[in-house]
Amino acid sequence: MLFLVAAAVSIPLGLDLYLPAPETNPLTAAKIELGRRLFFDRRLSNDGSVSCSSCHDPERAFSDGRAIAVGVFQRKGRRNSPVLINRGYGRLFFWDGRVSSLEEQVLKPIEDRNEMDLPLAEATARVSLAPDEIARALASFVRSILSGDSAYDRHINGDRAALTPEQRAGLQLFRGKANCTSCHVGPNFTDERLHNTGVAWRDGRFTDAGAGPGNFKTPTLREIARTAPYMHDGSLATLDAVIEYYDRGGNQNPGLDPEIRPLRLTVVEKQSLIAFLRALNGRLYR
Amino acid sequence: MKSILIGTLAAILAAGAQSNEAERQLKAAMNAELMNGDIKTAIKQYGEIAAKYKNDRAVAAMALVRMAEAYQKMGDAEASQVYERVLREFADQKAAVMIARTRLGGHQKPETRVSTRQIWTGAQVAYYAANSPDGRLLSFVDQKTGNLAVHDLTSGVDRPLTGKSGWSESDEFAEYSTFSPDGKRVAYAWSSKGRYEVRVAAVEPGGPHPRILYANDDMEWIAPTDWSADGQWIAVNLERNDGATQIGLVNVANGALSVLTSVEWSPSSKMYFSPDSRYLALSKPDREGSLQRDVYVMAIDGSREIPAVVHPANDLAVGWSPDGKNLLFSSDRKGPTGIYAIAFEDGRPIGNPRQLHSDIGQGRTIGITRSGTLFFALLPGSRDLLTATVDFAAGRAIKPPTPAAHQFVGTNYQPDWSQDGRYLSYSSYGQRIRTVLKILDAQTGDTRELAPALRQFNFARWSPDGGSFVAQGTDMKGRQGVFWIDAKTAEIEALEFSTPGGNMGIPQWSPDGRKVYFIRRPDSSGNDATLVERDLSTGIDRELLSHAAIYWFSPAPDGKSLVTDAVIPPGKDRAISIVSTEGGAPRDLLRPGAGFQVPYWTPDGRLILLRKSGDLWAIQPAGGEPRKIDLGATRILDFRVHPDGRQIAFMTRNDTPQEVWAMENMSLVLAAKK
Repeated sequence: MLFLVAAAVSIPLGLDLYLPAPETNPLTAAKIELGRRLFFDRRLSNDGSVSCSSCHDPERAFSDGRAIAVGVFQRKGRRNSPVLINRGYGRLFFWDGRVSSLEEQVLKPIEDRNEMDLPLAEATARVSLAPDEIARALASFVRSILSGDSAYDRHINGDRAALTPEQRAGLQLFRGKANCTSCHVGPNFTDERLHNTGVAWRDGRFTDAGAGPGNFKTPTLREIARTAPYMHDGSLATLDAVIEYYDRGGNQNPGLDPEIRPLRLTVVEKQSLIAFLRALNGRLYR
Repeated sequence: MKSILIGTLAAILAAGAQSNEAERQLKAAMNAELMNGDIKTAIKQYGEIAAKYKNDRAVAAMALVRMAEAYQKMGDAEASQVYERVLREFADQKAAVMIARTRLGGHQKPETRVSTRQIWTGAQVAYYAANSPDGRLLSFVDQKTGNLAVHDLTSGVDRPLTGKSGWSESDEFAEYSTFSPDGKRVAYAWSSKGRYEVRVAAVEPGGPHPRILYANDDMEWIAPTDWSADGQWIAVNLERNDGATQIGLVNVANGALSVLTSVEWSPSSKMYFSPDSRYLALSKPDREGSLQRDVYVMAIDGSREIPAVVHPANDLAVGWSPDGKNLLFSSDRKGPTGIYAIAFEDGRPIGNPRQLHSDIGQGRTIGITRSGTLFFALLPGSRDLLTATVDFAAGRAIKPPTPAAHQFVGTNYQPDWSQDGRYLSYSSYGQRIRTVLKILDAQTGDTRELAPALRQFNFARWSPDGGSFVAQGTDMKGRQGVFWIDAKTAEIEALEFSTPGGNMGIPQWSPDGRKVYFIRRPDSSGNDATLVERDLSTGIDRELLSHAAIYWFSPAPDGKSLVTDAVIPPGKDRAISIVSTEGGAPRDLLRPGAGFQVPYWTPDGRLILLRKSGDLWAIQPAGGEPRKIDLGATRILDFRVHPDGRQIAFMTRNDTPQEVWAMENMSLVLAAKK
């Protein structure tokens, strides 16, 4: 196991030592702690009923278990709550990638009518912090949410006993026949890009345009077994359903990513793939 | 200047030195300085000699001159003080005074210009080269065996550090290497049975056998590029089996790898530890897919990344001044590639860069010795992209060849003209980073880059409508095939991937843009290839040739036939032939075995150009005797004719030996400019 300290956080095995942060918001323990308090602070929602943690529950690897997020006054959102793991390494935020910095991203749910529905001026009054102070603190806390040191990480760092034979077979499939690494690549298992995997295509139209015809950001697969349901709309309840979806080549549509095609996996191969995905559960640092 | 100095020293010793012991000690000190690069020890010894033999004024004066020279190498202002002492205390020692005066100049200041000199030349000497900290040795890969070897710059002797007898023994080979700070070991990449390892070998003969420091089955490629001055870390570029590229640190004590950062670009340029071992200078693309780079500095604890040189030009990290106060980089911001320094204090760059050398030529930097000598390699033995205007009827160039590309010269190849004649495209690999497509606009003179998400590609050919290219290539997952590339967005789409063990060859458009021709080879032998015509609207394939060894082909502008360079059964001899797209037996254009290759049908359809022994030839499609075209250049590799039928773009190969040069006085210049 390898732990190296970068700034105010410990970097678990498998993740990059360099955790990017803007020069205007260097990572400090004090800001992380302030961000942690804000993350759980229900005062940041209009009716005081929800906090960031309501949709990003640490006990569920910072997801919420629902298909679609639920905000203040039980208002239903449009999409599945994205997991917040290893987002410090991210470059695009939200399912449609419309924001390019964590500092910008963390304020959006506070203002969003279907999420926390609180004007920033009101948020400032409630917690006695300027919006940019809230943003920097919340972004710092999100940067500190890290998952690594999984069986997979130990495996690729030389511990050949870390993965079971079935998981090793799954890793081979992940990188080969199943073509998962077309999008889920690198230490975070995401290319941080937008793809049309066909999930939003139903009955001859896109139910959600995403970033442009049916394109959504590739999510990380870290802690994947703990973050069901899946996809931007939470439409696939289990990992089995996800594998079946990709195995049949997704939903054919005019903009379907050319890497999405029938995989013709056997039953055993599907099981191996899922076993491997479970090996991406690691230690969650926060 | 050095040779003058040494000659003068010899004369002084011969004429004035009374003591053999003094002479011996002076020579020993010079040996420490010049042969071992141990400048600090040499300074101490010169000082002791000057004190011990103060009554032997010739020896004492010359010891002080040598001492000042040594200080000068380190960029230490003490050099001026010692030269002035020579003038003050040894005015009777004419030779020593002359040297001191020359060094101090009219203003009594030391020389403030860098100087360069060639120190080695030979085939392939520059690839993967690294210098020892004392500047005495250069490591390199012996292309004849795959061994890692060292070249001793003082004796001129080459010596292998690894024990392969040759390629017949195995296909293992060394690549990038770096010396330990004490110069006693070399860490290097070793490819063994398809797996890359970092190994460490002793530099001196009789040392322990090379050992594996780091190996991992998850590693596709790894390249050690620098060894930290504290001896603890080796900086590596690496690529994982899933295609992820990363920059990491290998712990010398236990071989553990720490990944510093994952990157989306090919991290194939060198990185350099700061002398205090706290920072790593590296070169990053200035935007996604670009060959242009900027210089960044990363704290090796991962705590931050500092943009050090961000400029529209191509800026590459070169290293650090020995005192760590300056970050050095190369840049083509003024046209030629120069060497620049920017002050670096408290983890950040200070002020504006200073130019140390205006033009080091086309090549790459190797490294900096501990005394501040920069080694760099010139790579004339590479490829140049040229254009010329030709009278094909007269068989000669009417306007001599001129360079078509002015950046990354030597790495540009495979030109092609757009059908409207406005654009000249060519592939370029810059500092051996990912291949990009460059597109030169003849109207504006501007060149833009297209960076398809391919590890590498070849033979990118314009579609007739100018909207796209087809190319043979390998995608980021290592899959080889034929790809369509959008000429505006660089978006790619695979037309076909090759089968395992096979490959695809030289795709070409039909003149109407509705079809693409390519070679499908099911195995590496290439003897069972098929020439395929793919109808892009239906996706239906037609085989124009099969069970043949097909080396090259080119479609006729009327779309009715192709000219091929192939072994087509039952003839069994390699020949230039005309193959009808409508079927029928191929017609030999030139007798088999005539030595002509790479046939290319000119856009007006009147000629087929060919290459033979590096020269350009032409023949009429109906047949006849081929005629040589005098382009005013030889060793021609690839050629395409402009739609105007007069201009030709081509590349030539130049096998001039590579050269390694040393740039000296850098530390002194930096000290003087403070």
